[in-house]
Amino acid sequence: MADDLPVPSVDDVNSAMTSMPAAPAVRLDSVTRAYGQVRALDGVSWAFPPGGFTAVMGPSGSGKSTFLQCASGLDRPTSGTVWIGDTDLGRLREAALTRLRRERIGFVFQAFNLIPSMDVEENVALPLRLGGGRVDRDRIAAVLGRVGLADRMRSRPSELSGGQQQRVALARALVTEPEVVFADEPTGALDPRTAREVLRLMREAVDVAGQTVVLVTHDPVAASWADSVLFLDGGRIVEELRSPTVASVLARWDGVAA
Amino acid sequence: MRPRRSDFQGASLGVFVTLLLATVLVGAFGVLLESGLRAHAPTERYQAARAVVTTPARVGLLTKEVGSKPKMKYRPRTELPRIPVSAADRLRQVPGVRAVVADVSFPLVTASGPSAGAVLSGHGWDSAALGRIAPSSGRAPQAPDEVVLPASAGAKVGQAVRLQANGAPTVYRVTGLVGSGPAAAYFAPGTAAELSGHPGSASALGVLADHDAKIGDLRAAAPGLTVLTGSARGDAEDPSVAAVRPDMIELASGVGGTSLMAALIVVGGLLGLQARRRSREYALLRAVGATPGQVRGRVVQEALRTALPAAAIGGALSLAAGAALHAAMRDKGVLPPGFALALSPLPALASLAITLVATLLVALLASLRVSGVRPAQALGETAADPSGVARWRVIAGALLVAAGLSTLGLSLKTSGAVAAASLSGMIMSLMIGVAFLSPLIARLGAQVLGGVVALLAPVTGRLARQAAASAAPRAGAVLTPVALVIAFALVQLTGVATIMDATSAQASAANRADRMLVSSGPGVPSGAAEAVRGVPGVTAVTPVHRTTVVMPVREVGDVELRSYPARGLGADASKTVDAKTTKGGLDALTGTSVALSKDVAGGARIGSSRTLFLGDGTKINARVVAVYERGLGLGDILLPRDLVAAHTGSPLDDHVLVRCSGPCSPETLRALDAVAARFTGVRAVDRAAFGEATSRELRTQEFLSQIIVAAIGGFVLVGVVTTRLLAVASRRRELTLLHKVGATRAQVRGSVRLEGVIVLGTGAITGLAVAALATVALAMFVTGTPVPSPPSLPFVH
Repeated sequence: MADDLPVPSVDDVNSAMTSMPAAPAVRLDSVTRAYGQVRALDGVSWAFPPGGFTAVMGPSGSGKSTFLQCASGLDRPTSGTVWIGDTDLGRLREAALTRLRRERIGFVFQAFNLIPSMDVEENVALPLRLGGGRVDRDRIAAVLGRVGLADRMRSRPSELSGGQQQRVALARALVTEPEVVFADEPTGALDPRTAREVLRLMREAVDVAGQTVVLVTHDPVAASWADSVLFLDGGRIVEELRSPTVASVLARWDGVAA
Repeated sequence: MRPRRSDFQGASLGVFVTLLLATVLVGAFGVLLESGLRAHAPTERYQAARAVVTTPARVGLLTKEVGSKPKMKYRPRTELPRIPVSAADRLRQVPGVRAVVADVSFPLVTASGPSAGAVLSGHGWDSAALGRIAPSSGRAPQAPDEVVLPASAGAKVGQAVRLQANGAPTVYRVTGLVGSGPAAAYFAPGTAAELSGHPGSASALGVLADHDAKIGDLRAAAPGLTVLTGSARGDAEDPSVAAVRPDMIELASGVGGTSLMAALIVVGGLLGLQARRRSREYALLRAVGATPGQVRGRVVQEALRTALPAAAIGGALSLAAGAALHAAMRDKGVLPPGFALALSPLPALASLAITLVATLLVALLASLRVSGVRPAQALGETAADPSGVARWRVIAGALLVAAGLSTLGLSLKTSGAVAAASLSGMIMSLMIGVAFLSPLIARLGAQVLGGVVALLAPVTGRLARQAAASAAPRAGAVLTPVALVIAFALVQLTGVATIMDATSAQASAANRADRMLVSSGPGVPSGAAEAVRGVPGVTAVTPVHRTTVVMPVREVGDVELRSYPARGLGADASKTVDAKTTKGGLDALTGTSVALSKDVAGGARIGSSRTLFLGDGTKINARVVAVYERGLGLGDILLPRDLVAAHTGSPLDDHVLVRCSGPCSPETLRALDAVAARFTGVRAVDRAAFGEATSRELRTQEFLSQIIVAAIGGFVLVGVVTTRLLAVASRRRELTLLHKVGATRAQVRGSVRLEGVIVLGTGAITGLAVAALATVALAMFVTGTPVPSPPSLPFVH
């Protein structure tokens, strides 16, 4: 994906899914995930445009985490279909799904992103090493340079600040040059300045490298970095807000939460 | 990946220590095993012999079983053999042979001088050439009353000394002294043959030959006999070392297996706990693209990275531990003095390999848990303990416990070796079953014990109860080693104590004699029994000659050769020995006949014939004349004394049972003492003193089981401590939270302590239950009553 690729608007994608020439990066089609009687996701359909930065918001229990788990192949929906690019995740066996996560998806979680017994370089190289390929040290150095931690290769996670840890996690998510990066509250435990640095790096991944980012967050400031914000409530998508600002997100948020 | 400091923290430290100690123990018994397999008694008297010809060191029997090929089974012979001297004639014809010496060997006691009571071995002077022995002063013995003594005996050339062989002490003139070598006395060859009690036969034929004499030619010239060369010649000098070999193999493999199993139960618990604690890390790995196999590989790799240094250090230490064990066992008389130590890197390498393979298996088992880790768990806030117990655990555990209980039934119905073997199998299957079911047991314990604790300490007790109940799998990993160490130690110690007490009690009940003649030396000369017979007031005199007999027995369908302690009983046996016969009687124990304990009788009928091998390896077909119950007290096989004496190395009796008509009168007792005083080292003792000597002899068995219990119990305790530490450490966040929300530090500490009481208490009760089952079963088939004997305190004898 290149910078000059025409980015279709979310509306275009969602209204004309079947006829789109450029397939969406991630697509959910009538996805339901039930835990017993409770429907955490209730027939959700959405398409994430390639090279887009989408935030997913919603009150606690709205199904945000389940949404992310199903969309990223961490969990399997009870019914409905999820595509990453043109791959139907439901058709993949566990091993193939694992390989797909390793090669085509990057993850950043809220906490416990890094293996404590590995140093920074090893944590970043983990997806490459798990793939069994040779680890290109220049590539590790480059991606660590991108997040500004080229000089901390030999540090252990316990020796890093929270913001540095999240930047290492982001570097690990980006090292395989994945199509999509899923981030689950990556700034939830960070102070505003550190959070801004992590968000700037994600924005950069979208703008410079053309990667697709899906960000689950509570934070209107974090959401305002995205191209578009989806509001979830009761397991359904209730709103979409394009070109969000902190104020507009807050205004919508009140509407959803009310 | 390189080992790191973090690899030696938490579970890894416990795994490391447990595996290290287990490797040391396995290796130490491996050293014993190797010594048993390779060590020979030292070659001293035969050092100049090119070869020593003797009878085969083991007896063999072709056994046929339905559905399989006939197979030879072997057991070692325990006594010096008898070889006709005429067998030497053909050996002398072999080119290169200079001389063949018919070596005789018999025990001898000095009866005069400063070293009275010292034990020597007696030989003919012609045997001296086999050991390059020459008199350091004086000359060789020639007349029948001449002797050459070791210089250490303190005699001078020309002096008269009194020596006692198989009769009253006799006067000999010292014609020479030997400076060095074993404590042996040399007589003129004819005298030696006479004193050995079996003129015309030798215990070995020593071949003096040039180097060009071919061993193959010697073999050809000695059909049916064994030609020993090199260090194997020592076996002919002292068969006791070769005789304990099979026992050592059994012991070493038994202890090695048990300690390995105990270590694996502990390590399995630790690794399981570790995997549970790391489940978030595994979930993260899964999320970023590790396949379940890759995560499993990581678990196994991590375990091996800890196991490798542990096994390497343990293996190296095991050599020293094995040497120490060997020394201790020899000091305590568990091993014969000639049982030398054989040290090579082999036991260290073997124990290292065994530990690594076993760890690999346990780690693979522990890594199965990873399959249950969902990658989505990486998103979770906290890692909660999953409360469910895997179904395979429940099924496997229930099957093992059921198997253990059914062998309990089996051991109650059968007796003897089969029952004893099934008992250890039963304990093991019960314990592994307990390990599998431990989460369920922990939950039950939390309910019952937790209820008690909560009643006693309302605040901290309730907290502790909740913690114990919610973390049942974690608690299970802690309680299993506790149960294991308690069950194992109790069964081992109580089992030995029960058998010993039953043996002493049976020996006492089987003894109807009033007085016993015993020896402080090699034995009671046969003349003593004859002399006692003439004492007024004595109605029955029975010389008793102990030996070891090899007999085929049917065990679970297979015919096995087994060695049994046996006794030769002389005249009047039915008056002095109460074997509690169920069939036949001891009166008929004459000629080639045998009485069998019910444990080995196997339904034999009176008048039927049994094949058995006497001490020197002679195969006989004996007529069964009696079946009796007191097998523990008397040994499993009783034979006529004359039959036993004709086929054992020593002509001396072990003791003589004497019965008076009614209570012994003081005159009779005095007369008995006077008879005893005519023989050096012989005393007449009453029943109490005799019984005490018997039980002291039995105590040596206790020593070994105390070592085993201390060693295995020790490292399992290490496992308990580390497992408990890890279980608490994995709750640190929870405890911190508890403190933050208002629990005082004392309350937090109290609840942790009470949780420990609940978990460890549950483990102790489980261990007691397993031990109770096993020891009651043992007591049932040893004594017939379900009351085991309490163990005596370790290391106080």
